[in-house]
Amino acid sequence: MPTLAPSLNNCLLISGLMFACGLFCVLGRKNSVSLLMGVELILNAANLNLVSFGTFLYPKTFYHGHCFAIFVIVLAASETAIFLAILLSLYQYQEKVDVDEVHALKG
Amino acid sequence: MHDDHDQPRIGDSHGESAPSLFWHFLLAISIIAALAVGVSLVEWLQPFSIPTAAVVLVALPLVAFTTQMLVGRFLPRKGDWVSLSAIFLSCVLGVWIFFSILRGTAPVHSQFEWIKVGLVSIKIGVNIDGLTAVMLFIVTFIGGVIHLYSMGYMSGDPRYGRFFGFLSIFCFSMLGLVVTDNLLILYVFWELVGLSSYLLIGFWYEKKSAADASMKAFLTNRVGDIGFFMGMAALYQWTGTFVFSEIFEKLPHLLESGAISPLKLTVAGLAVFCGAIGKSAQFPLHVWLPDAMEGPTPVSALIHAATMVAAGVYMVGRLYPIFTPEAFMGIALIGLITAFFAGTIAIAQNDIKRVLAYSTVSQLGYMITALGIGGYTAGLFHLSTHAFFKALLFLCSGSVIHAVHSQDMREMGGLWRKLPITFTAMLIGTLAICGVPGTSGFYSKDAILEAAYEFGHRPPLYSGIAGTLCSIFQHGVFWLALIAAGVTAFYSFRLIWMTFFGTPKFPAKYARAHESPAVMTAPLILLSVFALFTGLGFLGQESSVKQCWAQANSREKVASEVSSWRLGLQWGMWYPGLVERPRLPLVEHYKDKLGMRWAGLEEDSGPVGATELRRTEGEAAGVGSGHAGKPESMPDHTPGILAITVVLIGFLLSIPCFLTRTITLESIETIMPALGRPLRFLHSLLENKYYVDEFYRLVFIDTLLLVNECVKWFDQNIIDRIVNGCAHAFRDLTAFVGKLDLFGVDGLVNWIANMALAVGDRMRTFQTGLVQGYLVHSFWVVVLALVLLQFLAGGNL
Repeated sequence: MPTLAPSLNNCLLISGLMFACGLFCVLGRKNSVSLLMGVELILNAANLNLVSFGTFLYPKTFYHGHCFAIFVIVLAASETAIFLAILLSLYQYQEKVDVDEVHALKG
Repeated sequence: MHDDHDQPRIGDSHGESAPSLFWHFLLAISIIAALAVGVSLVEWLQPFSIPTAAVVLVALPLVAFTTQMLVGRFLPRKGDWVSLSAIFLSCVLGVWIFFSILRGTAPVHSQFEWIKVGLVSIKIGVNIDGLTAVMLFIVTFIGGVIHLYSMGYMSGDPRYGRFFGFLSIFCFSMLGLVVTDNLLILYVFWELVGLSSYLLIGFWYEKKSAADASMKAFLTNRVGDIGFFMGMAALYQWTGTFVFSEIFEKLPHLLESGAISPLKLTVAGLAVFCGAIGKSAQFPLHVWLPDAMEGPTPVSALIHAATMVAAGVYMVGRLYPIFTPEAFMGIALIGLITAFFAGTIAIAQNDIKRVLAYSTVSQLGYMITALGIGGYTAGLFHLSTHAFFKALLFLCSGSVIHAVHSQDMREMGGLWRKLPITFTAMLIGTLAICGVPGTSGFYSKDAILEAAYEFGHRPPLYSGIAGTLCSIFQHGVFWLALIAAGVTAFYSFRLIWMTFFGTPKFPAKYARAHESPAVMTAPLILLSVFALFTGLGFLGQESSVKQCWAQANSREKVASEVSSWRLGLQWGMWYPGLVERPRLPLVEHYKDKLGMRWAGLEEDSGPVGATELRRTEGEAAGVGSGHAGKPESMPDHTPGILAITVVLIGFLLSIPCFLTRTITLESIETIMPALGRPLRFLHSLLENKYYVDEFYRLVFIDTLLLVNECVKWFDQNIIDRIVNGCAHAFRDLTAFVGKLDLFGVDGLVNWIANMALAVGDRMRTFQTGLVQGYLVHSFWVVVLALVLLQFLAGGNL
């Protein structure tokens, strides 16, 4: 019987939902800002996974999961900064930020 | 051509009246100074070692040659004084070495290792014994005299300087050949002698005949040298060394142990002798020597007296112990044929130099015969005396040619009034070559005849029919040699009569004839003295010579050459003491094995003169006294008296034939018509040199051309077809391989490339450039991977 109390299962469920939302956002939206937001969602879903595993499997003994989550947050921040820089130059270049307009790297 | 224009100009700048006189004066002064220095050197050199002196002696002419070739053109007088002074210094050293050896210095042999490859070690060195010392003296002295003579004879020649350079290298080669202790180096110098003669015979190479003659000399010598080389290789194969003394030491042991058969040794000996046949112009290969008369006359003198032809005889003398009795027989036979055959040809020649050339061939035959019959000392003594009088005769003929500007004796006559010095010198030379008592030729020729006489009385080598033939041959040697001596007198005086007596045939030429300059007549006078007195030996050396002679006797019995010298003077015996016959272990081996008394080696055939001398010296030697009581083994002077008679007959016969012309072909024909045809045939036979050249042309050259044609046909029709067939087959093969390459290998390579292209073409459709497309792909790949992992892990994930 599922309850709303914080447990590993519930956390993983929320994380899975967040991942699905993020994936949909990344794959389905045209605006690259939305794309960035989707990526953030996916990353945070992963963070939630890491933290919940760390909390529920090894309560108050190991903090590996938490540390890893902090690494991912830092990584996400830097990724966002680079993404925004690319976005700005892209906007300067073609006045648009839609990803389906950007296919100059086609092989 | 550039040189030809250049040199006279250089000469001219010095050659005007005043400078020319100056240079002559300087030359005279330098010659006198060199003479003085040389004479003092002989004493001063005493502490100087003989091998060093010998090396310096050999090297000097080489230095002169190099100088002459490099800077000779720029030197005053075109550098003739360089060659002259080099040979003169060599001569001084040669005289010194000669007297050192004559005074009793032991033979010197010094050597060092030259090449060492693995176990093969080749040593070179200097070997000075009596024979070498005599040769050194002869070569340097006659060479020097000829250098001097050439200054007159060759003056004005456009290649004057070069001529002296060539003379120098000729002397260098011959000297090197004489001093070496080693077969290999001897061969090297042997070939150098050949090269030098080639350069000098063809000196006037603008004349086609001269160029042809030099080529002929060179090629004919090569024929003999092949034999020499093979013999040398065989000796090296057997003994493993090139050094003479070691070869002589090892061969008897090898024969003793049966490692080599006597037949092999005989063949090797005869092969080595082939070299001498070529160089010393013996019978089958004598054709080059008369043609070599195309060279300048001083060169002819040098070739005939001191260098080229002497090399062959010297070589046989040097390698004397390697010959077996059979080989000696072959040598004697060749020598005898040559002596007789060339002597008769000389009778019918009209070219003054050709008469002398055939006379040389004949005298060389004499020497070789002497060596072949065991008259070692006699043969080599004749080589020494012959060198002087033949050089003299050639230089005289050069003087005559210089005066008359012709070599044909039919154009001469009555010249003795015009050329008194030349005439006197030539008469002396002729007397010497005929062997008139008192001249040097008498001693040497009689020595040979006595050796031949003694040879005839030896028991034959074989028994049965071969023995009879052998015995006939042994007796024949003496009689044929005797007849050849008469023939020598006949043709020599024919030359004198035709050239210097009778009426001048061409008055214009006779009127213009004049005696040669002093630089040419001085050598004639010098050589005349030697031609007269070489046989007598050297005054003042008597005691030491006797001592040498006694030593020689104590060691080895020399054949009977001595008795005729006792007709002359006691101190004529310097030579046998100096050049004594080496031990002949191979012949001794035969003597033991076959019980044959051969080659006069037996103790009891010891020479009379030697035993008598020994007795007069109070048995000083003290050895062989047991045989001293047998002087009757050779008591008679038969050969000597016979020789004088025969020479006298030859001389007397030549007077009516060529001086008074009472006996001619025509006069005989009128008296005895039956004799006419054979005599005419004989005359044309002799005039055409027994048609040997024609025979060679027919047999060798024409056959060669025929073979050439056959080979050409074979080449064109067989070889070329095979080659072309191969080429065609190969072409087809390559065409096939080309197809294989084009369709097989290239096909494979292209297929792979096309595949890659096709795959790439498909793959590029994925590369849309749209980020989300990639993400979709990666999403599905991750899903797929997860599903796969699920399967692989068997549902345990």
